Amino acid sequence: MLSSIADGAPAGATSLACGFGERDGAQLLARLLTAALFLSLAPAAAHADTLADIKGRGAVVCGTASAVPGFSAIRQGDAWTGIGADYCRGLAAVIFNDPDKVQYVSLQPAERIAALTGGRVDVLADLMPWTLLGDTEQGVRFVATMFYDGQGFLAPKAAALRTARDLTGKAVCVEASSEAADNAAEYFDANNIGARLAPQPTPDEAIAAYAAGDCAAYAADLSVLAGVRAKLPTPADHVLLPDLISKKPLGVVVKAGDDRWFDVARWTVYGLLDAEELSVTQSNVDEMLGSDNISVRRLLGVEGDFGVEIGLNKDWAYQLIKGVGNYADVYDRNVGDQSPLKLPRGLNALWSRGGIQYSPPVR
Amino acid sequence: MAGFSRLHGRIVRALVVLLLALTLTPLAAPASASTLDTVRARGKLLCGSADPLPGFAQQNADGRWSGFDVDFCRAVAAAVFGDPDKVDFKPLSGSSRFALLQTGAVDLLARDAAWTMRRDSSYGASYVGASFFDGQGFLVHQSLNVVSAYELNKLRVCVLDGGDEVLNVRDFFFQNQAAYTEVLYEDREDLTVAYQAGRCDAVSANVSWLYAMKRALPDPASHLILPERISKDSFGPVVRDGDDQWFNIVKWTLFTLIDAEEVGVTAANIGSLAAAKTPAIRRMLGLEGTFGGGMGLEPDFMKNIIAGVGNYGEMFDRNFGPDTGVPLLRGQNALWTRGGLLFAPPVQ
Repeated sequence: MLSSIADGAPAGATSLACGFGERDGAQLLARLLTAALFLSLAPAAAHADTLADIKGRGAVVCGTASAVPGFSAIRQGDAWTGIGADYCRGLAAVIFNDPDKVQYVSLQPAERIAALTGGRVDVLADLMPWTLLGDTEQGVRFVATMFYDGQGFLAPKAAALRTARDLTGKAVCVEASSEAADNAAEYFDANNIGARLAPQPTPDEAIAAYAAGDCAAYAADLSVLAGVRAKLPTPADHVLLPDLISKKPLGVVVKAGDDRWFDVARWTVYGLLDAEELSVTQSNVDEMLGSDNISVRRLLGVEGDFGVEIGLNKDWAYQLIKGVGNYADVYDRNVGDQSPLKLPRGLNALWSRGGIQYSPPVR
Repeated sequence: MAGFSRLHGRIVRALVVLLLALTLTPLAAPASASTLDTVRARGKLLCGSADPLPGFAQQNADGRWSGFDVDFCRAVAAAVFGDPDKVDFKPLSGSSRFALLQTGAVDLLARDAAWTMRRDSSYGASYVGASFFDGQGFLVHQSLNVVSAYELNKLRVCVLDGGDEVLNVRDFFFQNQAAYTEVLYEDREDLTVAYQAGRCDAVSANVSWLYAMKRALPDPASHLILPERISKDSFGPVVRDGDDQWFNIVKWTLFTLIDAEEVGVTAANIGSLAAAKTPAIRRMLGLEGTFGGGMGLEPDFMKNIIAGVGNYGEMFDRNFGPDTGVPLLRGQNALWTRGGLLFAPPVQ
C-alpha cells in the first residue's frame, strides 16, 4: 500500500475527507496511510517557511556584503549584476514569474551570516567558499557550487609561460601571510619548482608590484585574478596559467532548518545547469516549449508537474530560463566571454563537456 | 455482508491506530529529536538500502553484509561511534523505503533509486550528494566483437518496459540511424534469463545494474559493458528532512571519503601519518584545527572513517576492483583531478 505513496505524488489533505463507509479495505488503507504520511510531513515544514514569507512579502530579500565584480551582486545604475545577483533574480523568477521582484540589503561581511540565520534576508548573493566549518558551524546550508574556484597564476602574455613550472627561478607576487602565500609555497615545494615568493603587505601592493614588472606572476584565486586583470591597462596582455593549485568551491547559502526553501534554492541552481545541458537558452526557451525531447518537456513543465510539491508552479524552470537564462548564459554574462573578466569555463564546464558541473535531472 | 462489516470495523479501528501512530511518530522522534542522539542511544546505526545488488550490497553464507553501499553505512557508523561495526544493514524491497526512512525505521538510505527532482523534493527526504555516478549503458557478449555502443546495429536489445530506459534506447538508435529490435521485459529477472538464453544480443540499463548482472552471470569475463552512457543518473545517500545536523553528518562522511582519496590518506597508511606536514592531511587526522564539533561529532571522526573503511578509492576497489574478479572502471567515479566527477569541498 505504501508503494502508492512512495511512487506517486503525496496526496493532499483532501484524502481526509473520504468517508469510511463505502470503500473497500485496500483502498481505505491506502488513503489512510496517505493521509497519515501527509500529516506526518506537515509539522516539519511549519517551523520555518521562508517560501511562504517571500510570497507574503512579494519579493526575495537578497543580502550582499562582498563586492567581487562578476561574482556577487554589484549595483550598476538601477540594475544589479553578478552571478549572485542573477541567482537572486532567478529565485524571483521561479517564485513570482518576475525576476525583478528582488530587494537587496547591503550588509557588512561580519554580519551577513547573522542576517541570514536571523531571517533578515532570505539568501546571500555573495558566493562563499564551501568548507567543512562554513557548512557545519554557522547554522547555514550550502546550496550548490555556483563556481569552482581555486588558486592560479596571472602572468604577462609576452613571457610565454606555459605552466607554473616555467616560474622556476622567477619571482611570484603574493599577499604576505595569506592563504594564497601558503598554498603557493606548498605547491612549489611539493612540485620542486624553484620559484621565489615575493610577499607584499597588501593585495593592492602585490598587484602594483606585478603591474610594475617586479614579478613574473601574481598568485591568487582565479576569481580575484580575473578581476585584477580586467583593471590592468591592457588586460589582453595578461594570461591565466592553466594550473589550479587549490580548490575552492564557491556557493550560495541559505538558513538551515527549512528543507523546502533549501529544495527551492537547490533546484534553482540545478535548473540552470539542466537547461544548459539540454540546450535550452534564454533566447530559445519559448521555441523549446514545442520540443519533442522528454527531458526538455519535463524541465519546462510541458509534461509532469515537477516543482509543485515544493510550492512552485510547474513552469518554474521556464520562468527561470526566461528570466535569467541557463547556467552558460549567467556565466558568460557575468564572468565569461561577454564580461570584462573573460574567465574560461574550465572546471565550470558541464560534466558532459570536460568540466565537473553536474546536476540531477528534473524527473 | 455481516462478516465483512465486522472485518471492516476491525480494519478501520486498526487503521485509525496506525494513522495516529504514523502521525505522531515524526513529531515525537525524528522531527524534534536529533537523529544523532537517537542513534547514539540505540548504540547502532540502522541503514537501509534498495534491493541487494552484487557489488553494492550482498550477504554471505554467514549472513554478513558487504558491498559499496554497506561500506558507506559502516563509514557513517565509524563517524558516529568510532566503530564501523555498529550498524545494522537492512535491504528494503519495493518502494516503501522513503516511508520507512520517514517514520524512523532506518536512519538513512545508503542507496535508493537515482537522484531526481521528484525524489529529492518530495517524501520529506533529501539526497546529501552523489556517491556513485551512473547512467544507462549496454552490456554485450564478447563474441559480438564490438567495443562501442556506436557499433551496435541490426541486433536485438533487451530493455525494461515502461520506464525511461526504453525511451533512451529508442532515442539513441534514432540519433545514430542504427537499426535494432526491442525485446521488452516487465522485470529484471526475466530480462536476465532472456539475455542468458540468447533471446537478445545486448541489454540496456543503468550501469550499476548491468555490472551486478554481469557479476552474477556464469562467465562474467565473456561479457562487456560498453563505455558509452546514454542517460545521466547518479545515486547517493538519502536522509529524512527536518534534521540539519544529521544531513551534515551523512554529507561530510561522503565528503571525507572523497577528500581522503584526494590528499592520499588511506586505511593502509593512516597509522603512519602522525608526523605528516601537509596541512590537508593534518586537518583530516585531527592534528590541526578542530572539525566535527558543529555536527556533534568528535574531532577524530574523519580519522575513524578512513581507518574503518578506507577512502573512496579503497572502498571502490574493495567492491569493484580487480580482486573481485569483475573489475569496474572508475570512469565518472574517478576524482575530479583524474578526469572524473567526484569532488568534495575541502576540510577547512
